[in-house]
Amino acid sequence: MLVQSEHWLDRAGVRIRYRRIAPRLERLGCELVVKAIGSWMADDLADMVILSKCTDARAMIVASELRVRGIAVGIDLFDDYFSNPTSSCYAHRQALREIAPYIDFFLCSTVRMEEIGNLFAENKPSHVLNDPFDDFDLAVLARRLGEKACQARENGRFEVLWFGNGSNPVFPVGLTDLAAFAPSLRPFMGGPFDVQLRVLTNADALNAANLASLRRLPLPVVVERWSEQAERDALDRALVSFLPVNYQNFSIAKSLNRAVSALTGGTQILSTGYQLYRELLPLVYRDAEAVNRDLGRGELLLRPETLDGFARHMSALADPDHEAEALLAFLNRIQRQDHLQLRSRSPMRAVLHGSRSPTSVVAMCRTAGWMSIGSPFARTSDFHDVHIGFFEGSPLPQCLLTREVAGALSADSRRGIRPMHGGGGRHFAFVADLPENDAGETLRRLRQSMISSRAGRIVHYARVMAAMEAVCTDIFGDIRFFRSEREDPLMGLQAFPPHATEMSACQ
Amino acid sequence: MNASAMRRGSSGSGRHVDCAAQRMSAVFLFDLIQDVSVLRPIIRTLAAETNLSLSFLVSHMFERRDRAAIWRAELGELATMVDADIARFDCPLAAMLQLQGKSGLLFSASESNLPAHLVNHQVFLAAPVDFTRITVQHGHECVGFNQNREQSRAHGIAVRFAADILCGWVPVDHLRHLLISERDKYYELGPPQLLNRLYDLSGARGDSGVGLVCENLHSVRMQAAEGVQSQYLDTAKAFFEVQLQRRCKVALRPHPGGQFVLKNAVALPDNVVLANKPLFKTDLQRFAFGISAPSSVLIDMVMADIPTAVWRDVGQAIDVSGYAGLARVSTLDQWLAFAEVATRDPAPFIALQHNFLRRSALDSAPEQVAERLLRLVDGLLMSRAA
Repeated sequence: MLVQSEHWLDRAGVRIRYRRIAPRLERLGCELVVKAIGSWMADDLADMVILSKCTDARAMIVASELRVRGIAVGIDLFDDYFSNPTSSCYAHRQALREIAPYIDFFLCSTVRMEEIGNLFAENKPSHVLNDPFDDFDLAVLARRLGEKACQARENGRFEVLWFGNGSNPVFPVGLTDLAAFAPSLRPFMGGPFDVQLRVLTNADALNAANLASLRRLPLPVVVERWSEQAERDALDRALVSFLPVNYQNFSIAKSLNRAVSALTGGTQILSTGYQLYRELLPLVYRDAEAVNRDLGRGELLLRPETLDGFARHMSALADPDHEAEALLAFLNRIQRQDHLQLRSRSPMRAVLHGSRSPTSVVAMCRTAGWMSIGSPFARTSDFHDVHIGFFEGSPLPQCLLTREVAGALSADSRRGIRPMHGGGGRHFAFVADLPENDAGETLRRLRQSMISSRAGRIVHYARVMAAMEAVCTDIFGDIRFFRSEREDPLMGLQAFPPHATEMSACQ
Repeated sequence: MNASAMRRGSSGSGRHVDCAAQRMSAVFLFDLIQDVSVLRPIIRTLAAETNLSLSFLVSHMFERRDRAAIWRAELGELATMVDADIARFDCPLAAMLQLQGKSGLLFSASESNLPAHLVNHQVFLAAPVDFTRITVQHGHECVGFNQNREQSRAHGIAVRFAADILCGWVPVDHLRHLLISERDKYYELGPPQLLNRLYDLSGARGDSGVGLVCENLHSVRMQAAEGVQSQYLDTAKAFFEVQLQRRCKVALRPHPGGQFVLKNAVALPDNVVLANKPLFKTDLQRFAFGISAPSSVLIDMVMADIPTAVWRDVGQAIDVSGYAGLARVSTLDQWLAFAEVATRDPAPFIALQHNFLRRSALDSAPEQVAERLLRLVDGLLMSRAA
């Protein structure tokens, strides 16, 4: 299992989706290793590799290289950055679109995510791996549920918990949802019980704007930084977990994991908004008034007497043993299908770097032996093998090559190449003439000022990148290009229709 | 909780509020250097007159700005004096977590939606609902309250606050830049520095015979036109030279936050004595006269009853309308003439200044400011308790 970086090894996705089933898989004879994609080496031994939220060009390199070696590659889809065409997730969508032909299967967190995967690669084998629950003890759970309800009635007070990731770089979720659905907590205010809300979330979500939104909640609020231990303690203390869900694509594709954590942690669930947790409905409150009423009667939905039903639900929806077995059965089928479909390693493969291409992609090009090509949008400080850009204040774009790349060219291709005399730093040794064709002309006419603003990049990106590919093909022969771009919306831009290009050329 | 019971000494109730379920807090934010001077008299008054638990929250930027470590020492001394806790914060969350679990009043002297006040503005936004947030006007000409032309050019005229209460120096109808949407928050406190007189003794007037020149060359006011800044500096230096020839000393006070002459290592003649102590530890009445470009220090000098002149550039670009009625100087000759006449016969200047204070509604008595402050605190705590 490859994740984006070391930092991701501790994220909820890895913790919940992989670490909980890893011991179960091991008992079934399958070792699940989770590592950062940056530490992947071409000679790594694995029967199968799954990419988890690896959204930069390194995923393309790894997928492509593994396929050549006959190792099946899958993608784990567990957040919907894809289905809403109007969201600003161009890079996510384009990356999935580009990588889809190079992978063997999708692993999905929900049926909805499976449907979304199907939009990008029809008929690709897929499997829904439900987020499994963490270990829990029914007897302990029964005792705590009884104690908490009893204490709440005796003391006339209880705690409601909101926990989880508080923000997302693209979508309004987390604390935004909490603030938006807070009116549904009003029955707790001035009701038969004194209720306090505990908010447990990651520190970077607790910025001034989000904290300001907490001031408007209808209950007294205690804010706490999230940690695994803090979550366990908070669930143990709280009577109710509040899980509001909004109606956007991103939110309705979410798994049941927060509800499963809330229930196995020993809390009732109050969920408002979209009915994400409908499969757990007998155990889910939809209004706060009912919690007050049931607590008063001693008939909360999750109580020692209802734990049999709860256990059946958990077993059907989130049992790690069952999930591990089903996953392994699926992966075995994939292995048998694709081992025979080896692919050749031609043509040459290259990454074309755009405006915001991670340095880690350049490093992986070296690891994998791919050519690294810098476009005029790319930083000149990254050491590519070939770079067409503006060096040392030159008003015109230059095409610079390293000694190694130039040395690998055929005699025919070397005709337009001459040694450099100064400029371009010590990294490059040769300069190539841009070819006398439309693509070469497009690049020759380009000026730094045309692409120094975001608006300029949006206007010129598709045309210039297409010209880059044509020029590099002209110099080096047949190349399979993969683009590396993190600046939105550049990755998702299509070239202008041909007539538009012609018109602009005429002008 | 009975708010009046918060008073020490009032009705002989003393500290009996300690018996209450939870002691109310007054928390003070320090981000800019000048916050200390503005908040200190309020802190001393609340320490003397109430049983509030006092805390100082100091931003990580404060210590960076306080290169000479003068002001953190002042804060430490003040904290000891009033028995306050000091905690640091480096983000709104850290400040909020310091406040969580307490309730009471949160004071800032540098809070608005302008970038320069972002730190405290964000803390105000993030503060738990258990705190009433109070922004104190920090200068005679102050963004969002009464602005000079240069401030309006630099910051616009739509300054807003996250505060629940805005404490200003003058009646609300004297404010030209308080937005209508902010008016309901306004409370006339009076100039808080007057409260210092209740606690700090001052010496005899003019006994040093030394004049005081104040610089705020870093200020946006000095950007009124090309060359305004250098004009002030050149004139001041020429004035110092003449005084040197006359074997007279002059005191120079850099703005506490700006410290322009020190940061830029401006060469000064030997007769110039730096008066870099905090204003609340500077007995202004000891000076024979004071000269400054438009700045709140003019108000301090006027209130200290020393002859005071406001500097205006020769091209009259800098806006001095907030100080209309005070003596004005521009050229070196005018500086010299003012210094001589003011030293010889200060009375006419003092009379002008009293008129100015009255017209500007800045003529509150220290006891009146203290009474307003305590009335506000009582009222807020009473509403909180209710």
